[in-house]
Amino acid sequence: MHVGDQKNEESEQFAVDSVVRSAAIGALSVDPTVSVSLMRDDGKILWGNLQAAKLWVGESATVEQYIGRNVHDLQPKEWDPVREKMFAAVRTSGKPVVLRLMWKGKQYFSLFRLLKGGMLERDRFLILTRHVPSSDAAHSPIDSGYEVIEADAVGLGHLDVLTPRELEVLALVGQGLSTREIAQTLSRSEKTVENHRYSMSRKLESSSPVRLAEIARQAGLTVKDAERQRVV
Amino acid sequence: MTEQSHKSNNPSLVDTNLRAAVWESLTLDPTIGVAIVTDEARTLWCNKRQAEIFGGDNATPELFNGRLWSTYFPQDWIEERLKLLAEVKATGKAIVLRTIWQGKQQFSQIRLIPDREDNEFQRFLVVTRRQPAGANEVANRDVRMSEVAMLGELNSLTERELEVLALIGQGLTSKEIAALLHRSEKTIENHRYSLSKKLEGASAVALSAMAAQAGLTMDDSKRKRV
Repeated sequence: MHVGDQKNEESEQFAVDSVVRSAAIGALSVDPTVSVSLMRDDGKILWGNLQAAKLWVGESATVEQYIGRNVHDLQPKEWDPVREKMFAAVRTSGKPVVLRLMWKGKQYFSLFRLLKGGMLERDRFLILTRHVPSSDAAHSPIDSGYEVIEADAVGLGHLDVLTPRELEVLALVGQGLSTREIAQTLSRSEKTVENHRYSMSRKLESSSPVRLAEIARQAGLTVKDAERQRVV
Repeated sequence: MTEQSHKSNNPSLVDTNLRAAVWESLTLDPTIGVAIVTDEARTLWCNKRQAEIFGGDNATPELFNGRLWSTYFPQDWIEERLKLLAEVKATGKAIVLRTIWQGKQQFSQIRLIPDREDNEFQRFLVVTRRQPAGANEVANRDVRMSEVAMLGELNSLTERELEVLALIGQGLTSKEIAALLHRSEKTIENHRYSLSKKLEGASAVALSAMAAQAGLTMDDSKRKRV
């Protein structure tokens, strides 16, 4: 920790009272870029914001359709063990842990934070989930120094039509690599990479290379995702 | 869905632990700037990210904590914000403000901290986040547009070039941009070339990524530059 950080923590203690913290909950509950869920350790959703409802129930969902549900009914069953692993990791480390997942063809990072229960109360987890395009790597939660666990099953959404080879190419397009660089990285010919690009453009109905790059950037795929088990 | 009903759903849930966890999540998030400010145009406290957004990558919160805005910010910018603070105080409703700062689009949620009325100043919580193009959040929310823009490295661009950059960022091709702006494709290509040169963006893809990151709209080209 830097000296400056510590100083700022001291002034934080001075400036931040419970009224401020309540305002922070208000701010997060209407934030359109962060999904917030409060989950009991048996998977029951105790509280969540609109964004979380949209992400896990559907675009037109309301929070009433989210709160009170069980996460097992909302997320692919392939993720059950991943969630258990997250719970265990957060409990063991005593620090927040980050989960990277692909959902509907986009990369998300979830920060899990433990709210310890008591004799009569089960543990709860505060989970903040955010879409992170590939180009935002500079300020991704990975940088925060927390442990990152990757979900080994991916929800590809509209990208599910692509083959593993095409996904690899898309991942590298999203990282800003040129066709030549992609060919070198994957040890294939430029011609082959061009063919993949062409085929992807057709499947994804994207008219230009720039648009394909934008899709790829939004997706935030890694080459590893290409071989992962797919969930729907 | 109003915020009130979020709370009334689960009044018992918002306990001290949750408040602390949410606060930590918010202030330690490397993408979210958080500040507590007052209507005397002063920053009481901010997190590291907030300092970086407004003071540059090496800025620390000490630069801003306890200081008046006039130390760092242009007068136009301050006055615009003081008006918004007054409105939030009067209505009690949070406002989202869109600003171009250092050439990038950002959104700030300004929220009243319900202090006692006999306080000598009113506190507000400001939560700021940079947002690349393509985020659909503007459409369905009440977002205020800041009239002043701080263009940073984009300040070397002309109005026309900024328009073209905004449309590139929205994923349009040269042909589509030409049609939209009633110019020839050749002219747009010239703008692109000049943009690439000024921004040291070598390729079309790099320029498009940069434009997407900036998240500009056409209107931004005409705003007052500070």
